[in-house]
Amino acid sequence: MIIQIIVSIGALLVLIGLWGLLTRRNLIKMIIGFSIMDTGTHLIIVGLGYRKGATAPILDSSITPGTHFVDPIPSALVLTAIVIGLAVTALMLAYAVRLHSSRGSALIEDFKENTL
Amino acid sequence: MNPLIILAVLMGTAFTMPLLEKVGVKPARLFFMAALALLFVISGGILVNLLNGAPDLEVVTAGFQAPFSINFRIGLAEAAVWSAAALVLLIGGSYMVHREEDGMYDRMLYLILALGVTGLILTRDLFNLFVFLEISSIAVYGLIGRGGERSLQAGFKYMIAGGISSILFLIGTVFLYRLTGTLNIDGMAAAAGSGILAGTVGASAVFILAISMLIELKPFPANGWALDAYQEAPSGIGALLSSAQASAVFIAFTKISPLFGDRLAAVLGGIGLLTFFFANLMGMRQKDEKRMFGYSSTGQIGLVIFAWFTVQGAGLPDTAAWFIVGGLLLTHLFAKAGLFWFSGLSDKDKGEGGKGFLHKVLPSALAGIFVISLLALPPFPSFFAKMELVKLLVTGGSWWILTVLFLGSLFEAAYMFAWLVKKTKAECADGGADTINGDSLVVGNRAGPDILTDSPAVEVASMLKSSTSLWVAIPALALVGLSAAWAYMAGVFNVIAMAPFAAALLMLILSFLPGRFHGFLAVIVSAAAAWWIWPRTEGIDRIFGMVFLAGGSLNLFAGLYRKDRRPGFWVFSLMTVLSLGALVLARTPLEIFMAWEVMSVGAVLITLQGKRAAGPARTGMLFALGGGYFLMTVLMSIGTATILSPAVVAILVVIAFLSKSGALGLHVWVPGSYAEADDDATSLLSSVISKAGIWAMMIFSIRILPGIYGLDGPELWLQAFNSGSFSFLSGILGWIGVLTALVATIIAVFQEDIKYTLAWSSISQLGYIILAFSLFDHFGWTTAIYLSINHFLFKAMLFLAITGVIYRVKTRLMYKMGGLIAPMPITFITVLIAIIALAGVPPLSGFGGKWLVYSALIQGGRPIQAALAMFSSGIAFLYLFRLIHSIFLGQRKDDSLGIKEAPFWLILPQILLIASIMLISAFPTVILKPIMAAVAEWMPAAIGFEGSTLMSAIGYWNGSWVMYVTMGVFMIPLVSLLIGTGRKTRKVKQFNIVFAAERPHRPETTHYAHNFFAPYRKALGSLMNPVGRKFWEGSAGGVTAVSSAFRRIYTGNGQTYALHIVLFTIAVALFAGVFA
Repeated sequence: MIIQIIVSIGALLVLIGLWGLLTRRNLIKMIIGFSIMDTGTHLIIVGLGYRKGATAPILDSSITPGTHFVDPIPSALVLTAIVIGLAVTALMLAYAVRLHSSRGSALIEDFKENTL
Repeated sequence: MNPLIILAVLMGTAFTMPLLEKVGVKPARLFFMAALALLFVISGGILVNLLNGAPDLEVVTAGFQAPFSINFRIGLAEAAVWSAAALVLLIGGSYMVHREEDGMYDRMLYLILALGVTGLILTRDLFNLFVFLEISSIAVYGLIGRGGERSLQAGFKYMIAGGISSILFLIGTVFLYRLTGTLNIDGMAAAAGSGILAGTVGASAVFILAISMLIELKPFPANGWALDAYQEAPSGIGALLSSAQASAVFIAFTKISPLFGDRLAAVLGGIGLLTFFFANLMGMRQKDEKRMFGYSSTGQIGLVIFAWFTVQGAGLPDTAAWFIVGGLLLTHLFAKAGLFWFSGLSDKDKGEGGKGFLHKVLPSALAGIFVISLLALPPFPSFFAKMELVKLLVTGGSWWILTVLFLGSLFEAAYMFAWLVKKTKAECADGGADTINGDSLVVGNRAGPDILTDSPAVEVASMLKSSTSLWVAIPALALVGLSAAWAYMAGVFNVIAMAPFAAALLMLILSFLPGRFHGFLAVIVSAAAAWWIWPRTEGIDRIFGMVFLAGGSLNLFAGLYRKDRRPGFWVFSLMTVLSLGALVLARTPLEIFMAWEVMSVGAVLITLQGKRAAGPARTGMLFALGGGYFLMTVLMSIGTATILSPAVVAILVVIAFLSKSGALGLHVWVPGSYAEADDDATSLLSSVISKAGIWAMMIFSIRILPGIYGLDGPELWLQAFNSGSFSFLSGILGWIGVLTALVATIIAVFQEDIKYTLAWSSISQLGYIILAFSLFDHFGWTTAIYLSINHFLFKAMLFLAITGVIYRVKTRLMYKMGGLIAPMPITFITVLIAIIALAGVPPLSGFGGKWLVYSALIQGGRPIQAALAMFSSGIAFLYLFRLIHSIFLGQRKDDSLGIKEAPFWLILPQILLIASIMLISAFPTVILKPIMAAVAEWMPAAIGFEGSTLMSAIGYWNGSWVMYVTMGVFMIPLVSLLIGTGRKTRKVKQFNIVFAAERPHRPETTHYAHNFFAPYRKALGSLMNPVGRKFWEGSAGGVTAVSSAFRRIYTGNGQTYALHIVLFTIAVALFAGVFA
């Protein structure tokens, strides 16, 4: 049950972020939308790795054969995904800043010159 | 050595770049290039190993076997694409260092891109794939933005699209992991095989993963961001995006494709095809060069996707599958990279010198190789790949898919060939001094070269000096090498099939030698080929083989009259003539089609050498390719289970060949091409190359089509032709022939431009040949072949004579000539004899031709067609009369007072042709007997000789006696005139005459030549409307209008593009039945 809730919340966040990306004209707000999508994705990843009533996946004396522990791979994946998401967000922001300083505008529709 | 060390090297070099930069730019660049070189060496080494039969290379990481660790696998396909991408990355690195700004960060990003590309190709772990996808994407985002403000905009849009795609990828991946318990792609595929992914969640996860990868491959219509990126990114980056990066993503895509269900695979393949179609449709209206390449790139990748799912659906084994997919992908990879660099180099040079990078032989050749290979023409891998792909589609009976594929290809050809023409003929595009208003058109043919002004030695030196330009030659060399490999695999790597390309390559290598050398080489090689082919052929093949090769050689000899270099002319002429030889010797469907394509494209390229031939050559190219598609469809259906109905095959074949021969309706490319090609080249095109269509129609009727239907021998074949639809179709063909003859003759009458007159005359003569051919009996075909030879002889005479005239008087307009009989007597005699032969009056060979046509038609039960043919040959006198009257008789114009006879190089072939025509006129048995024997091999003989008299069921003809009698009738008055009046004649000055009660002072007032047949024209009225041309122009207009309409979906707004992606995803989901 808890998995469904977490994954659903994650999916909801993705959709909210997508809505933001598609409807906000301001570059910064679009990037925020993108960030929210990212966060939702991370939530989905972590949620799918969850095991009810299981322990942390750390190999120490408390783990004996037969002990349930949370799937560690999604946790590893989410770390990578967060890092990559961060890098992309940072790059987007950098572009937004440079676009704004070149044009004095941060509205996406002001940047559609290349449609020859 | 573990190949993964290269990943460490690339990343390590990238991160030490700032440090190296402190030492100096030069060491930094050195390490940068060294890392890329190492990448190429390692990937190439692995490829060589695999080619030598080594097993696929498996690399595991972290000391565990897969699936407990990330593993990499390098099979032949991966190694080939990887090393090709590495080569492109290496050249691109050099390009960036030499030609574009290469800051420290650019080099870092570049190395990271190389890393991402490598990883994408090698990894077999889904999450690792995500990492490499992001690595290459981030590098691409950064690199796109280097070109200034507008490229920043493009980069931002790219990031939005890439961001959405990567989120989808992650979600799909993690769900698949949850369901299958592994991230290893092969493990997932195995799990998918056991049905774990069959449920809604599994199907959705697979779909989300598929769509995320698909978006990275830029599908229509969710690819506006990619087009903007191609347009705005620096050329060097565009080259990599389109080639290395796109290919790597595609390879990754193929890895996950085993997860897809049949329905999803079909939908994705369909999207690939639609992308190919629409991208090329929209590319047609594109002015911006890089954006146009972008359209072509997305289209090509779409084609590769389509090909991938087609071969998967057909269940081809790996080798056969990659023969198709790899052929298309690698051709695109090298050709498109080359084109983008090219575009960058030519931009740069324009800015610097204004002379244009392309005004040199080698660059033109390179651009030609890139474009021709993209258009899937021989001998490039894409050609063989596309043939096999078409074979699959024909086997599957997918006619609609085939149509879309061909239309897309045609669109792409339209704009890519136009680009090539524009680039290689840049100077002609802006006119030049000799374009004069209206119809008064002075031809400066003697001025010669459009392209070359530098002396050859200077040119080679300057190419070597700007060594960066030579880098662009490497992808072209790679394409040449791949062509050999693919030809070998296709089983056509033999002397005959490869001879045209070998000759072209040789001439390219020898391009530093003077033009005359190339001319002699071409003459000797084609004469030697004729010599070689004679004993190796028989019957119809030998007869046409001699027209093609001996006739080609003769025409090439005439071409030596020009002393300039004529780059392109010699190489394409020789290539075309040799391909005609290959055509005659070809036996397998592939060989035939290959030779046919080389011949028809070669003819277009010959045409293109004319000063103002750009427009006609473009039209000619489209007709050549379009005809080729029909032919390909028929040839590829041979040996497959799909049996087309004989009527359909006949129609397809006839359309293919008639578009080459220029029958009415398909003729629109002919007049312009013949008129605007170089004057001597027109002779080659009209007298020699136009016969290829006739030969091919015959050979298809007797050899190929019976093969399709398993009809064994001519008798069964004859039954097929005489029954039902075939006799109906042959009747239609006859009408096409006779109307072609009639209409073209009428149009020829009203031309002022001598070359247009002769061009229309050629069309009409081909009409007679088609008419005779359409009888499908011994009499008809004997006639058709006889007419072909006759047309070869007199049309070569006419065009070569006219070449000399134009060369001397420097105009093509007949009313500006006049009185040339005095300075050019031999030329006059040639024209006189040729028009007697053409008109079909005794005693020359044309009379025999006409007699054969009418007799054959009447005997074949087609009196109306015979009457029309006779009528139109009467009309032909009108334009033939003008040739003599306007050019040779009357008063000499002031401009042509000092001229001389045509050069020796033109006169000698004319004399040989005159001798030939006299010979076959006096002794028709010399050629008629072999022709009749050749045709009688296939059908019962209907006519025969008794002594020197030709007997048919309805009459007889004795060519020798006709000759004797006519000569007697001619000689007696002539001799009596000479003897009787000789003493009384008195020579007078030019204006010692009274004309209409006035003494004229200008030659123009005594020689009525302009708009000569105006009253007839008035009488014909609206019948003179160019219906055919208007139809084709209307079609082209319609297509471009649709193209413009579709392009409006690309608004340039990044948010709209994101919306496209979302809507596209939903639409694909609906089609793929994910929600079901």
